[in-house]
Amino acid sequence: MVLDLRAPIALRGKWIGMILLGFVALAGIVGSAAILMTMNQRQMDGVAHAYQVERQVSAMRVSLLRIDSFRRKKDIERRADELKTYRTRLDSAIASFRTLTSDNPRQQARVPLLEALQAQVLLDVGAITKEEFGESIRVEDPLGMLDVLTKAMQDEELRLQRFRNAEMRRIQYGFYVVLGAAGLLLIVVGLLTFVSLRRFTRDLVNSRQALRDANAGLELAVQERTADLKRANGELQRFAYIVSHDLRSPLVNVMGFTSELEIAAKRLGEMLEEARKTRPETLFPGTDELIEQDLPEAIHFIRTSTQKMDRLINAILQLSRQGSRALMPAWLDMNRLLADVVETLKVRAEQAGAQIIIAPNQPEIYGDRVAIEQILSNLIENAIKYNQPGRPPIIEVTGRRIGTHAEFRVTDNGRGIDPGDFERVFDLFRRSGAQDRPGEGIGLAHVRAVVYRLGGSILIESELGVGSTFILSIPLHYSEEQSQVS
Amino acid sequence: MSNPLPVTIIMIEDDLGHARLIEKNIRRAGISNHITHFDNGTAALEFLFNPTQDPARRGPVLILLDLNLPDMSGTAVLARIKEAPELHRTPVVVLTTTDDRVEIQRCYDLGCNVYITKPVNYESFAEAIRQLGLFLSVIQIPESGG
Repeated sequence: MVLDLRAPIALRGKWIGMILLGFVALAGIVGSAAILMTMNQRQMDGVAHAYQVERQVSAMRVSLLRIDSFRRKKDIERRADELKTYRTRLDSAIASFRTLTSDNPRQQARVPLLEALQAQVLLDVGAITKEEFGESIRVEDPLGMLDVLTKAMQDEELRLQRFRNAEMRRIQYGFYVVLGAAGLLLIVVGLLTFVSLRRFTRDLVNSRQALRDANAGLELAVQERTADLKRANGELQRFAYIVSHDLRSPLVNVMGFTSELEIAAKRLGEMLEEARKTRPETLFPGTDELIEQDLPEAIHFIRTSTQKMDRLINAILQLSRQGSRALMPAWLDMNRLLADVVETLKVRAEQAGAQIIIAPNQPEIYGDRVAIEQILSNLIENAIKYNQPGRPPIIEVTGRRIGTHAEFRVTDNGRGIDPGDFERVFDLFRRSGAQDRPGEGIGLAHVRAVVYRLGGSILIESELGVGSTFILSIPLHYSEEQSQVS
Repeated sequence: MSNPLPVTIIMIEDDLGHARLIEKNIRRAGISNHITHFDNGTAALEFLFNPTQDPARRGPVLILLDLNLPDMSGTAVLARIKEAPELHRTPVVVLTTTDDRVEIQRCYDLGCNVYITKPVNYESFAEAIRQLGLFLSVIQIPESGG
């Protein structure tokens, strides 16, 4: 199964783009809203301003009309304070108007006319002298003129207000357009984000599922493979067992009838002896040789071969039995276990003059006692057996922990093993070096089978004539899964 | 012969060579009882369960049984013999090449009286059979049907 892990990453880039676009749209909305609000505020201020101007206009008109009502002299004398108030009010209204409409030349142009009307009215009521009035223009109907003028002033403000209201509406309209567009953009971005997010999630889920499937498949494949191996191995063991058993049966006959033949041959020998004494002339030439040499020789070879065959069959049987034996792991004090192994080999070690040194502080391990005893016993026994001629064996066993494994080294000063034979010595019925010691080539094959079964490994370091070291590595804690198919 | 009863030895053994060697060594041990040989389990059971065919078989028997038979397993023969009320007291000597512990236990569980592994070494084999002969000469065999 091929997984494209890049797809989600590309999708993620797109996704980030969407989110950025969304943020840009939001910022646009906020920004344009701020701008439009400012614009709107300005227009609103303008409207308020126009109202203010209008108020000043009407104040001017009212004040002037009031002043105009002071037609009689006694009025002026009696109500001098009132007149003064109106004059002040009128002056301040004109001043205000002038400042308020300073940006509008059309209104400004009307101010002098208004002042002229004011002067005429003041002159008419006698508030100012002719000198004070000076060269100012005079109109026929000052109040009618005032009406027209103030009307024009108010109309001007009204026109401005209308214009500003229209402007405000336009701004609002623009605001709605921007809002709508931004909203639309947000919706689009949101939808796209949602879709891509969904696709991203789906792809992620799919790829995770695919990964899980692949893992499960792999695990299943491993399990199947292990089961196959176990089955094949079990079959091989049964095969070895059955074959070795069935081979024994004919071997009983070969051995048995060889013995019968031997008995017969011996009897023949006796008869030959008898005939030599009594009737030597009846013997054919070569009969002596046939009965006294050829026959015993043939019988001897048949016998030694069958004996060897029997030993080999027994070895296969033993090996196949070891494989089917149930392991019983337990905590093992290796110091004691090694001492026990040495004890069982005591007689052989004494005969060979061997010295066995067990290093202190051997690591404790959890494993099958019988299996580990067999391994170490075999290795130490070999070390005693294959000494360098004329050199008493010195054997040292050390042990230490390396990670999850315990390493034991069995070092000897024996005759050594040719590096070319490092593999061969572990093969069944194969041996290395001079074939001058008894044995069938079973021990190390057995050792390796047991070591593998415990989930360990075994290596050799050796130099011819100097000595060998067998490096045994076995798990500190035996577990069924860890053990190799054995 | 210390045993006055004419005990018949039934030998169930498919290997003719083995049968011959066993017989030779029994005779060498001085046992002269009649030996009836069967090379398969079916014929042997037929004979044991239908004694009318041979009036001479009315007497007590001792069975020498090999486990590797061509038609049925020796343990099945053993089970049949030990289940039958008229035969279950008959001594059965299992004489076979199998030295598997589980198999030996199974035979004793089924009621076998003696289990002997045939050694490949002929001297040991002959010795074992001679010992068996000695054993046969002293044991008391119950009457069949009892």
